[in-house]
Amino acid sequence: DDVRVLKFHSGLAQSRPEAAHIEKFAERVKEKSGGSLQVDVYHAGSLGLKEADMLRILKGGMVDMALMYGEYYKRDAPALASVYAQGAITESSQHLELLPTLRSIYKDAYANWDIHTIGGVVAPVFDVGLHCKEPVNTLEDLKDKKVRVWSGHLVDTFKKLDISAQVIGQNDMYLALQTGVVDCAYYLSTVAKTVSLQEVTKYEAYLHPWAASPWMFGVSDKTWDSLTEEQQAALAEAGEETWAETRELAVDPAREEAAREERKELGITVLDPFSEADVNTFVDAAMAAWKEMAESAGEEGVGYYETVSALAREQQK
Amino acid sequence: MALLLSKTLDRVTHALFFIGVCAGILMALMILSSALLRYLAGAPLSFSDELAGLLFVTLAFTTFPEVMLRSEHIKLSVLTDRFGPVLQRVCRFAAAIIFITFAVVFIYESWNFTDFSRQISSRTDVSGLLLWPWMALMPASLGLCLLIELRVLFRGLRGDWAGLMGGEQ
Amino acid sequence: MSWLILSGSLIVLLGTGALLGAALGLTGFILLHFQANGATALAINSAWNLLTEFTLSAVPLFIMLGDILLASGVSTRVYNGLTPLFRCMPGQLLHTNIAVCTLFGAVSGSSTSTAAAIGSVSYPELKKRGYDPAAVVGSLAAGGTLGLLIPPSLSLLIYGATQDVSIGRLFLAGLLPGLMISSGFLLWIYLRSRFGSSHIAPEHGEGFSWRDTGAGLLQIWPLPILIFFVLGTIYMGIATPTEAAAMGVGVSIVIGFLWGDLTWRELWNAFKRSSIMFSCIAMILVGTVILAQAVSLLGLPRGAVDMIAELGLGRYGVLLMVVLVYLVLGCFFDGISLLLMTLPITFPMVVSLGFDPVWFGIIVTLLMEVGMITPPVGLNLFVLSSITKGEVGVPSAAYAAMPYWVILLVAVGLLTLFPQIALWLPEVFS
Ligand code: NA
Ligand code: NA
Repeated sequence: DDVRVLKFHSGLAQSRPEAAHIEKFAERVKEKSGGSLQVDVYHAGSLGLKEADMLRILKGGMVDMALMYGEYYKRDAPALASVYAQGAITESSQHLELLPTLRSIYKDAYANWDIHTIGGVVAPVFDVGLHCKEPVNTLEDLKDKKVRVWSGHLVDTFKKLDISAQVIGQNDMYLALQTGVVDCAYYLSTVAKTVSLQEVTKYEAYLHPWAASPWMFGVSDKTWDSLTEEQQAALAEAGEETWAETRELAVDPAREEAAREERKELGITVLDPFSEADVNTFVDAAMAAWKEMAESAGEEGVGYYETVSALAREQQK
Repeated sequence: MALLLSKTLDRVTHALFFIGVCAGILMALMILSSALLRYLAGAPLSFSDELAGLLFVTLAFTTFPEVMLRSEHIKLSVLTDRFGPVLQRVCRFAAAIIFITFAVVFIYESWNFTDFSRQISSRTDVSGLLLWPWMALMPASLGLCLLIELRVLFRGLRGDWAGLMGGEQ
Repeated sequence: MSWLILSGSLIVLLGTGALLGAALGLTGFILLHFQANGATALAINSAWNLLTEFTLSAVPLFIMLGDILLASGVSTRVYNGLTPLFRCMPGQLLHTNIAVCTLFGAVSGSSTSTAAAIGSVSYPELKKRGYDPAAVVGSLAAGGTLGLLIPPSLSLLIYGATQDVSIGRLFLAGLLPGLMISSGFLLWIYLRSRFGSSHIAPEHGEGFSWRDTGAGLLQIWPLPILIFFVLGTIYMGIATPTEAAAMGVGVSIVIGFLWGDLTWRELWNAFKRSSIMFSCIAMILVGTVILAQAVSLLGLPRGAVDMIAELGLGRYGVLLMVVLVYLVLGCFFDGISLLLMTLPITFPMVVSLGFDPVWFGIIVTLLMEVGMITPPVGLNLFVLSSITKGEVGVPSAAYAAMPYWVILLVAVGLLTLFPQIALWLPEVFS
């Protein structure tokens, strides 16, 4: 009879693999609630909402649910950007060991914004590479190049290595490379094809695995409190199942290999990866920049940094 | 007394407009120097996009009241132009009510927006500038616009319809 | 219900002759309050986000550039120089609007900055020379939309990135249709001036003369310098479009002092004038973005598109419905947000029927262009009406843009009949 419809905001393009998991989650909710609850997923930010506003929006109950990513909320919750950073892991499998800690940090932090967290999508650990117009696979070669990165933390990291980097949004990256505003993009190699990167850069070299915060499913407390217990249970179970399922898929060497082959067929020259010495130099710089970022975010940020980085260093050994 | 208040309103509006024009010039200068620095020195100003954005929002909101004062904001008058003088006055009155309603809601919400940002001390990503003083321009600007419209309406009710209809007294 | 409130409220609020920005914004507030659980607070987020966006700050910069050129007499000299070249062609300098918009479209990704940039220089000059103001505005509103189709294009970038279609192929595909439409616009100006009942361009007694043309063109030597700083720097990768706009401001000041009659006082006045002009546009932008936020939060576009899927039509039936829905949505909506909201449904729907994804990207972009000049909510119309300081109202601007509107729709038809117009170039180059 009465079907309760929840609006779910996701900023990810529908072509991203994560989007399919969210759709699956919506199906699970429908099934588990016996059809009394329907989650309408709006991909690619099609509700017209901006990520930076999401904490306020959920707090005010202006949308029911959202796919949350801690690093987007730097303006309103700076400490959340310091929870996890590039350089925290050097092998994909280390990510899985850090996950429970990350999840509980985000759960508590979002709760302070009147947001209830129910599982989420464990982001796949993708290869991160330098995608360049010329062959580059050493930090030395990068020194006279301009590099596109996606965060302030990475700008600081490269600065420590004497490399000039700037933040350019994903939508502007293609043109910036085409016109030569930058020479290289630091990007998720695995999904580079979806943004046509092969058309503007012909070389890539693997640097390290992507330390991605998990995408959490946030429900506004206003919405959550208005649901029946059965509906709440349906949401929680579905979120948990999606979490478990995506956790299994997160680390997948075969997927990375297949994606690399596909890029080779598209005409990309895949160079030897950056040397171990280079990776260590990069990781040291990234950890130092991470610490500074956490310190500038105040006590809370330092707390997050210390918890996660201690665990990360243990794993790296 | 009323005259003094009215004069003050004009002065504040002009002063704000002056700030707005300067913000626009500063924005152009900053974007220009950032581009030149990147090209000549290979080192762009990392905060320039952010600050340019803030100056941009300043340019917009500080100039609204002045444009309101000159009554140069765009209206759709295709229908009302064909009405008789009485109906035109009714429409002008309705238009004032529409603007006042809009402004009141906007002031209320933007005040909350600003106040909340102040409480959690929201800052810009790169340069860490406090945001609420810039956000406060929104309620302040619409507040001035509201006063200006109320004055026009007040004058109209006292019989000065010319001011109410066009602003060109 | 939401549709009813939307159209009812727009008609009533706009009908009273209220400030455009306030009427649009209040409609948005009403929708947010009554249909979206009182989410009026969201309006402020969207207004703030829009007006702090770096890319949009190109708009006031281009208006400044135009005002400085005007104040220094540089634009007058340039148009004087160009006049002999166009003297014998019916429509005369109106053609420059389309030509310059095409050129500008080749470096700017957005339609609003194209209209603002060209409009603020061209409108006062052409009006002074006796061209029909509405005709000038119509050609500018239409010419401005070319910025969206001719690469680089914001709309094609977003289409490619969200739907996983090659951006390079999309850009190539946009080129020929863009030039085709640009020629269509030029042809219309020619025909309208040659055979139209009323004059839209001033009359000239003299015939074409190589001497005058040469002398005229020699006079405008600073123009290439300016073009280099605005267009060349973008192509050479030295600057983003916003930075190029700022460079243009700097260069126009230098040219204005050295070659024109610019004084410090005039410069300050130019900054003041452009601030006022931009302020008018910003007020409308605030109203538009609040309305857009309300409509997208309610998922209205998605609802409209979902309806088509349920009709069970054939291949071309579905396409026709998609086009119709975009035309209707284009009345209330502009640009990129409309793309983001509808593509997740229209893209799979159309592509699963066997239409080419690259081709559909061009069609959708064309329909976005149409929306920019469709009243009541048409950003290009608003921007240009502001540039004329209301001398040409939004309705007359819309009326003057109608022939171009038809040309854009004819182009959609032609592209459907001959998809090769779009697909030929990408095929040759791949
Ligand atoms: Na373009
Ligand atoms: Na429109």
